[in-house]
Amino acid sequence: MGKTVIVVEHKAKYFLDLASEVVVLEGKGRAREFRELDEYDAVSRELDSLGVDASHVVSKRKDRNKKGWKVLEVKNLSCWYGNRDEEPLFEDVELELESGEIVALVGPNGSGKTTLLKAIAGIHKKCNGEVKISDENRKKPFYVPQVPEYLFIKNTLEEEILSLSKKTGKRIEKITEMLEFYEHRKSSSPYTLSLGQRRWLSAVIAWSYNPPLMLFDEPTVGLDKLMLSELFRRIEILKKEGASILISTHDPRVLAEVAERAYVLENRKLKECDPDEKGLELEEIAYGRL
Amino acid sequence: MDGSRKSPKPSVLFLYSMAVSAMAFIFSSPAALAVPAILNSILGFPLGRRSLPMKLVFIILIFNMWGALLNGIYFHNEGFVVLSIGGFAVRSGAFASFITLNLRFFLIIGATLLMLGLSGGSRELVRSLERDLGMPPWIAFSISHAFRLFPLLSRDYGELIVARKEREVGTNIFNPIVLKEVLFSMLSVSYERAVWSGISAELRGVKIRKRSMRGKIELQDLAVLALAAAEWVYAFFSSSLI
Repeated sequence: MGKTVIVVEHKAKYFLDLASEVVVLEGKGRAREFRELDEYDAVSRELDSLGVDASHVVSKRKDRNKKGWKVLEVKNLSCWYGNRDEEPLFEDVELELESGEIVALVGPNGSGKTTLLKAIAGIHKKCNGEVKISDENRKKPFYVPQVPEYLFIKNTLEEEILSLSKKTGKRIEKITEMLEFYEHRKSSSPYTLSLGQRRWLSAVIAWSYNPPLMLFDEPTVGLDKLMLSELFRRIEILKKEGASILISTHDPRVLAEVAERAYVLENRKLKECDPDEKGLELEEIAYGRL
Repeated sequence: MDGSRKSPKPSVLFLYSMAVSAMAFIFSSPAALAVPAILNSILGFPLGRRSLPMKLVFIILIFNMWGALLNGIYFHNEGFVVLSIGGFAVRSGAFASFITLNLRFFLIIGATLLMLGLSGGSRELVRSLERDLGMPPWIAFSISHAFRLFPLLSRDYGELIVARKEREVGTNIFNPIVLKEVLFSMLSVSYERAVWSGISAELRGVKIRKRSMRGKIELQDLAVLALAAAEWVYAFFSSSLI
């Protein structure tokens, strides 16, 4: 049809075989053009070095030794969105998570991932079944929404951290050492931080409450490769701090790089799956090969 | 498709809400405004409750009532004494002003809720405004986006309250500090969404979209227009124009 199509995308790898030209905007008016895309591997490497996600996911070695106690035990959980006489969104869900574990939850859009996270957090009430949280302080899991701004309550980052410290009893220095952008952004509104910074701030807010379990809803949406690497690095920090994390995601990189175990929610059922295999499968789907 | 629809056209509902809201600015007597305000509130509040967070609407109504009362006492406290509290007299002028302002507010919000409740999604509203009223696409988009914001605000409000509970901070929006924080968060989230909606609409070529032919006026559309006309006639004969 002779149409020119311009795709603006962080995950350039899914379009490289279709593209006749790639332009990387480097900021401050600088741009790099790639017109010879036949040398796929070389171009991918060069794009990667510029912070563009252009290479296949690679599974990282993860410590999968279960050493902790059971933080979460879900038994026969069924949830509804509308009336209970309608079909449930999902049924008879069984799920376990141990302390210090990072577990991914995948599934197609509308399969009920967000509702499952909200049911575990005690936010979604139209449910039958058992959700058992083991925490000596009897705290609830903390749900971190896909829109990080929902968790912000103050007009400046400084006020936000002060209020957080007062509420949680965590020392201000302890919180701010998790936020490397704090010093030069403390007078800014938390709403004006970059997307990656906002996502990280919402995670730090959740962490400050010392919940037995953190529930992240699609934390990688809209993040470029550098921001994503930062997020993964920070999630590892949270893990070292003893946090248990359940991440709802579509992102193959979460499965391949940080998740120790994974569950897939589809056709109203939850099944455990291998995170590396599922990551590769999602990657193949994204490439349009499955 | 139009032949099978059961609800009035969004463009007709838009005309209805504009016509009825205009009454609030033109008529000043409580007698003229009372029946349209009550009618639109009775119809609008149940129909529009899925489009707007009703708790927030009621809070705004309460704030509006206090504002109307203070306005009446400061600027219109004349005539015979209606109520005496201690040494302070609330006179008929203040009372009439309070009633009129509230009737106007209920009239506007009732008609808006009626339109939101019956007009379906924002896409239908844009199409209907362009097709039936010949409105330029960028104006239709702006109006539709403003109305589309209501259900989104409702969702944002629900999510913000959940987040505030998680953060163990106040959720009672009768408290002015909590209300300020909730409104600030809602505005911040809405602002970013509005920027990206505008960019998305531009990229999708909202200005150059082809318009389809006008649709047919059906019985339910005529009923809505007749209702607006009846309210106008009632108000006109119940009061003198300013």
